Amino acid sequence: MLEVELFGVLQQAAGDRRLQLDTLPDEPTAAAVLAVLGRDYPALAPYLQRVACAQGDSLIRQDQRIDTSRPLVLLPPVSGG
Amino acid sequence: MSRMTDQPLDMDQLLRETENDACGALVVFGGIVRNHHGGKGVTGMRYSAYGPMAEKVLTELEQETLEKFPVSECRIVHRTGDLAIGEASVLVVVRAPHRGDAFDGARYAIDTLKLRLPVWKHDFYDDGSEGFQDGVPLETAAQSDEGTRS
Repeated sequence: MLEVELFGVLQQAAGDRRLQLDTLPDEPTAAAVLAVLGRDYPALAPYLQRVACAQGDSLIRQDQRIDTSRPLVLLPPVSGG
Repeated sequence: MSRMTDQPLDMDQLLRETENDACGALVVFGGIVRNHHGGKGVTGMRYSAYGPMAEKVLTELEQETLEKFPVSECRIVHRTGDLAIGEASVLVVVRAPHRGDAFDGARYAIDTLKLRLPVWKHDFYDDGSEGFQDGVPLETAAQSDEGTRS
C-alpha cells in the first residue's frame, strides 16, 4: 500500500488531496507508480508527464526506487512568486 | 518569521533582521497580486505550497545567493493562502556593500525561486471562473546534473 499526496492542479483533477494505491509492483520506482496512477486515475493521466516526485523534503528521480512506507508526493509545474 | 507563512508578509521585520552596517545597498523585491492575468480580470489568488520542501528550498536559495554573489544578507519569505489584489506574495531582501551586487543577488534569488519553489497559484477571475496557473516543471537532481539548469 502506498499513499500518494497531490498538489496544485492534480488535486483539482483527482478531486482529492490524497490517494491510496493498494496494488503496486515489487520495489516500485516513481515511474512505476506514475504508470499505475495513470491507469487507475485517467483524470490524472494528462498531467503526469510534467510532474516531479518527492518524498519528505527532497525531490527524487523517476527511475529511483521509492520508500513505500512514506507518502509519494506529486508536484505539478510550479508557479510561485 | 518562517520563510513560508499564511500571515501577511512583514517587510519591517525583514529589514530589522538583515540590518548590516557594512552594507551600502539594500534591494527589496516584492511580488504583488495584480488584477489581471492572461487578458482576464483577477479578483484574488490562492497560493498553496508543499511546505516541508518549500521551506528547505528557500533556506538553500538564501545560502546559494550569499555564496554566488558578494552580498552580505539575503532573506526570502513567501505567502500562502488567500490573497487580495495588492497584497505581497513574496519578499526578497538583499543587502550588499555595493548596489550592483545587491541588484544581481536579488534578481538571481527571485528568478531561481520561480524555477524551484513548490508553490502553486490559483486565480479567481472577475467572470466567476477560476483555475490554476500553468507553471514550470521542477527539475530533478539527475536533470540538473546534465546541465539543464542555467
